[in-house]
Amino acid sequence: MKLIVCIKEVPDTETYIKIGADQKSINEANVTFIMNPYDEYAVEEALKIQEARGGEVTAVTVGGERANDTLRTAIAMGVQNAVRIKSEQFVSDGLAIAKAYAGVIGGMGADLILLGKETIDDGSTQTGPMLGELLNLPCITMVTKLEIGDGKVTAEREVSGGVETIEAPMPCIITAQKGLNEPRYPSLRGKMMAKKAVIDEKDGAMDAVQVEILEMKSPPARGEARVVGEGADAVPELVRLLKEEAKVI
Amino acid sequence: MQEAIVTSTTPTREIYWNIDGHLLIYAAFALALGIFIYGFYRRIRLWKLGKPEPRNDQIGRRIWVVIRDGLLQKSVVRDREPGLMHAGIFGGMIVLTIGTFLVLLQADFGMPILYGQFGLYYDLILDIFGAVFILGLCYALIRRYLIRPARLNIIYEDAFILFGLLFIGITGFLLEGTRIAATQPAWSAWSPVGVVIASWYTPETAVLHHRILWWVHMAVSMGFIAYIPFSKLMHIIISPANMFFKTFKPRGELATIDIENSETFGVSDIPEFTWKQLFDLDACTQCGRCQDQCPAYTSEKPLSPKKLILDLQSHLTLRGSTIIKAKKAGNEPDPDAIAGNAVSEDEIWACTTCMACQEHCPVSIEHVQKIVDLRRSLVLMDSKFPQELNLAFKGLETNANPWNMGAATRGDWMEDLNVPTIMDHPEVDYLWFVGCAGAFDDKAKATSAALVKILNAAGVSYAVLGADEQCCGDPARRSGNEYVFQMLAQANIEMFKSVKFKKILTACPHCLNVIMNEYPQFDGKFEVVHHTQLIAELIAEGRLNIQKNGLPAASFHDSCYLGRYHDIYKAPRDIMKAVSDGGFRELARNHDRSFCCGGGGARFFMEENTGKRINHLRIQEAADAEVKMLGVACPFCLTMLGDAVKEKELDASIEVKDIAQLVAERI
Repeated sequence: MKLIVCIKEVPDTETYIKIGADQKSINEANVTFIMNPYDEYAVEEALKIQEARGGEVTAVTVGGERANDTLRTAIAMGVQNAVRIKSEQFVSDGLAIAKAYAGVIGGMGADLILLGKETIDDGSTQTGPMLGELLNLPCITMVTKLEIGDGKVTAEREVSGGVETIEAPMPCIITAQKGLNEPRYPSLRGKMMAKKAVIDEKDGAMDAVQVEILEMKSPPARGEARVVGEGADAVPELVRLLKEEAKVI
Repeated sequence: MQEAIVTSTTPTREIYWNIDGHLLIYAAFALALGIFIYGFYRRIRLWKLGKPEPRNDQIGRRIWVVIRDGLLQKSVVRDREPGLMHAGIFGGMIVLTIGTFLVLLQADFGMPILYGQFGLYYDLILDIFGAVFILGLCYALIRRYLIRPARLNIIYEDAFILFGLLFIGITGFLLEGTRIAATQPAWSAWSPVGVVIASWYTPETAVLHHRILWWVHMAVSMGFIAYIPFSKLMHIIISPANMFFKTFKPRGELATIDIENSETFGVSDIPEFTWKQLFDLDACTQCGRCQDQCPAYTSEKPLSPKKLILDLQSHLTLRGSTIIKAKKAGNEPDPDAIAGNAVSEDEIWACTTCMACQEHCPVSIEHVQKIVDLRRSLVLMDSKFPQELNLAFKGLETNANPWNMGAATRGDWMEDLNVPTIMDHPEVDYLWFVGCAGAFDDKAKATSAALVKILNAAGVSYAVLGADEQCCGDPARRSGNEYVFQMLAQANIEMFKSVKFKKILTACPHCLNVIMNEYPQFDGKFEVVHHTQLIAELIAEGRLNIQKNGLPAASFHDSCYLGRYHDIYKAPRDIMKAVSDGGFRELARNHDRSFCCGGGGARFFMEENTGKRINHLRIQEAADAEVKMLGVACPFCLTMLGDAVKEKELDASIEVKDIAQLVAERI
């Protein structure tokens, strides 16, 4: 099977984000970049399928030089090929990114394309479905369980209050939700191989960026937490506060 | 046998007086020796499968270890009762063997040794040691088969050996008795045991019995010499040799890996151990002292250090032979991993690296490095480890701490506390390495705050690195993730070298060990002190004005990495005594026998799902000693034992605090 995983570098979940001087971007100084956590589920799932059924996995990203580190993380995990679609600016337009992916992936003849359900930086959840639209492939989003059948996939996805099971013919697109698997920790052998691996760098069509960031703001500081008391004695006071102060009940 | 110069007035003995064809003894000895050498040759072939490891420096010191722990049995007698038992058997065997050789020199090499006064002393000494030998063996039999301590195996091999040696000892005495009964020497009083036995015989029966006993005694003795390399008796040779090859590295220093130039990492198969690590396995006497001390075993985990060593020993015999055969045939042996086969993964991950096994092994076996080597292979080659470590590894890689807290927030703990940073105070006496716990863990942050108060009060010149510090690397290295360890170590060493200070100060014994003993592997040599050492010094110098305010029934829990790893026992006790109002008491297990909190060896970051909880066992000991305040000096101990207090609902009776807090509350 030919599997493709689209991945993206994002600021580490624990990084303290500061807004840049232009008020339109984040200050990247001292920010550690990691692979988008949902993309890790996608990579892991692709590797599991490849280990069980053979074939190869190619990781694709859109980004600058630095994004090669994220591709190398994927190689360390076990991905065989890595492609970077060059883009020096940060693109926040899901459609532009989907188009860039479509341009490169379209001709690769993939059986299955996997992405994270969203990236944790701008979190628009658009790229997977848009890529499906552009390549004219079915797309199942927020998948928590995936089974590969004969020329088709059966996927479970989260819907509010339940689980939906969907079947789709291959090739198709899957976006990964937490719970799909437990991403592996790369072995040292993998890491050493990743250091030396050659990354295929391609020019992509990034001319169609239609989204412009006008302003970024930090969220308001969180209020103080208050401990009302302990045990049953505290309940009346808590109810009173929820009614009178917070006005939520 | 004809004796040249025997007169009735010169005390000596007639040797072989009753034996025809005694030269057969040499044939028998040659045969026994041949089998003995062949047996060891088979083991040597197995040890040679290991990688090189130099252990031939400091010869004088090595010889001294053999004299001290081997000949004088110091490490053996450390466990008093079985130690004296062993010393008796050992001493008896040595003296009787030497005695036998002296006889041989006189009889067949014409050296007149056993004459006059010396001959009489010889008789007496041999009688005494013979008796000690037999008493030791009798106690060994009683202990193993009647008292039955849990740490001893009840297998036939031991009974065979003990009864066999007893047989040799008893026939030896019977020989002496029959000889005295038959020859009636005037100086027989010098052989007190022999005289008693002689009184049971008439001269006629004595001659007959003597002749039979002589051959039986000789045959069984020769049999035992041949048997040595095929049984645990091989420890007679290997254990003293293992003492000779003992490591002289700091106890806490794990071997490093050349990551750039290695194809494989850690140990998955026998040939990846060093020869010394394989040699170690054969030195085991199965005494079980390691198992007695092991927190994993005591808390009913699958690991027993004794079982680990013995399982690896049997694996060496089988797997080693397979490898040797395959090599002879010019083939590569089929892969056969130790982890999951000879040793289970659960055993490998159960170790807290507390070092109690190694500390109490009388024959210098090194358990901890082997376990870490097995972990290294699992982590670095196969990415197989308890799932909880995933977060710790990712945290260490991305945010330089095992909790994966934002790296930039490392200095947040000192907000509102007047803490000098190295950027503002570029030249100080102490660079305080706060450590991950001290910076991120709520309980340990209280220790950090207390230490700030103490340092400021005493006017110590110090500074911290703030957010520029990274994890020392201890959890990475102990869990086998050498790659991440080396990344962290190198980053810290570079940072240390870029600033000016005299010593590094730390409140964490794990940071202490790594920086002091392991950073030198990466060209980072720094003087490091633990906060208990500095505080004890400040108190002794009168730089802290301590106001006692009621602290009865206090005790101190020795951290493994402070006590066994660094022999720091006195400083924390000096402090405890300075702050407590009398009534300081020791826990049942203290100093080098202290019992781990369960948090070492990166166990702090793993779940403890099987058996009892180690921290509960330890806090129960404090409860049993009616301790009200348990002082600790390690952030892992602080959390593990503090949690145990809560989980066992002992809040009302026991409090656990770092020593720094106890001091800070009183100045």
